[in-house]
Amino acid sequence: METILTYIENVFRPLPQTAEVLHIKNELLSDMEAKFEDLRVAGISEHEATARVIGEFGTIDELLCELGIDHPTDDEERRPLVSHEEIDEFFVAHQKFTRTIVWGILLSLLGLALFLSALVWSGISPASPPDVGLTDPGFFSALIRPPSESAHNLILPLALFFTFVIPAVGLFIHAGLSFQKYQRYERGAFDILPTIKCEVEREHEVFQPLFTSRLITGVVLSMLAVLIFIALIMLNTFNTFYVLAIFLTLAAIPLMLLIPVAMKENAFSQILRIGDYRPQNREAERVIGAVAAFVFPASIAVILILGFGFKNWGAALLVFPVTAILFGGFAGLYSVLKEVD
Amino acid sequence: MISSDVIRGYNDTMILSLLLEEDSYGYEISKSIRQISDEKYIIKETTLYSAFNRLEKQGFIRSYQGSQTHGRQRTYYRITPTGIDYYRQKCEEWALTREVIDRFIKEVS
Repeated sequence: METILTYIENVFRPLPQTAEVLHIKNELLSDMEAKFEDLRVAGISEHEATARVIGEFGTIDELLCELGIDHPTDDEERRPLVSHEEIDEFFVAHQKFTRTIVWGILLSLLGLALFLSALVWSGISPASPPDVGLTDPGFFSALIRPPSESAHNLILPLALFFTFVIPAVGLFIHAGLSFQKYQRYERGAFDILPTIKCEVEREHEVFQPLFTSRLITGVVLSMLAVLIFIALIMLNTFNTFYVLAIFLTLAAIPLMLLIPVAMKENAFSQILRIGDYRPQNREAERVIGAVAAFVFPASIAVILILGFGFKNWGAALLVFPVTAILFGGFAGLYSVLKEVD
Repeated sequence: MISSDVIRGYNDTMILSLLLEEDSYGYEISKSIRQISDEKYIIKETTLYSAFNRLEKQGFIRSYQGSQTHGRQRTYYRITPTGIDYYRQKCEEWALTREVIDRFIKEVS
């Protein structure tokens, strides 16, 4: 009988405790109790009687539907408990997601680098005379006014660009869609048993040294890429498009080192609810994410306008690092201020 | 055992037919259904109380607190005049349903 009582308590606990619900609960309990006693009198074992009574209970959903109560699973409060297998599955899926994203980024960088190089091969150069402005038969007007020679020259660069970028976009979409069902980990809509959590924590500790060493190598290599980039710009012997292409290719190396470990660390953070995935940090994350969604596309627009519109590639190329640094500062400051609150 | 899916539309009919005999409460009704059906149909607790709730809201049955028996206060149900009308309708519906479905039931060699 104890088991039946516990069962009913568990079934009714997440429901709103209205008079109607409590009345039905009491009726059900006395029915089940009477049924249990009858079975015991008929010589059925306690175990068997309990199983039968619970087996004949039915489903609470049926009652909820009738009473017009929303199913409590939509409630944030009732989070599903994830099993060991589900956690393993999440890590495998996350790794696959990361691999797809990395390939997508590689293809995009390659596409951009080839696009820039092909611009030079096709005779389009940012080092055109300074008097070429928006109104002159420069870059933009060439785009608007076909058939001119420049427009014709754009075919190869654009073809190369799209050959690489379209598959990359496909990969991003595929990765996003196939990872969608794991979003509840990101939202923190799950519970984890302490024993499983301990195991994940141990794995996380084992992963830490690799993460740190990759992080240092990656950051050093990125800085090296930036230095090479600045040096080449200052030397002014190469075409700016070439320099940019070289930079993109060089930047791919640290990215390949950084992204997989950063994503893995992110997966650990989601499961262990640390760092960005601490419940109190999620609000800050949302605001920063919203700002990022505006700032980065805006900076790209500024780069394109300065570069193609005003032919000022030197200034244009500075926009991105400056934006990144300012944004990093903002994100850091905002998080700290949020924490103080 | 009859699956609850097949019989869903007729739980109300069974309950009302029992209440036509005499006022009764949850466990007694479920026991009667089991006995009358020769244990071929056992109504689930939640199905039974969903039906009580629905029937009472529609005014086909009325509940009242019964006297205490065996240390338990029971909620009894009584069929109302509209409930009797509804029961008749359900019986006619079943006769028609059975007539139609029977025409599709044949031996398959």
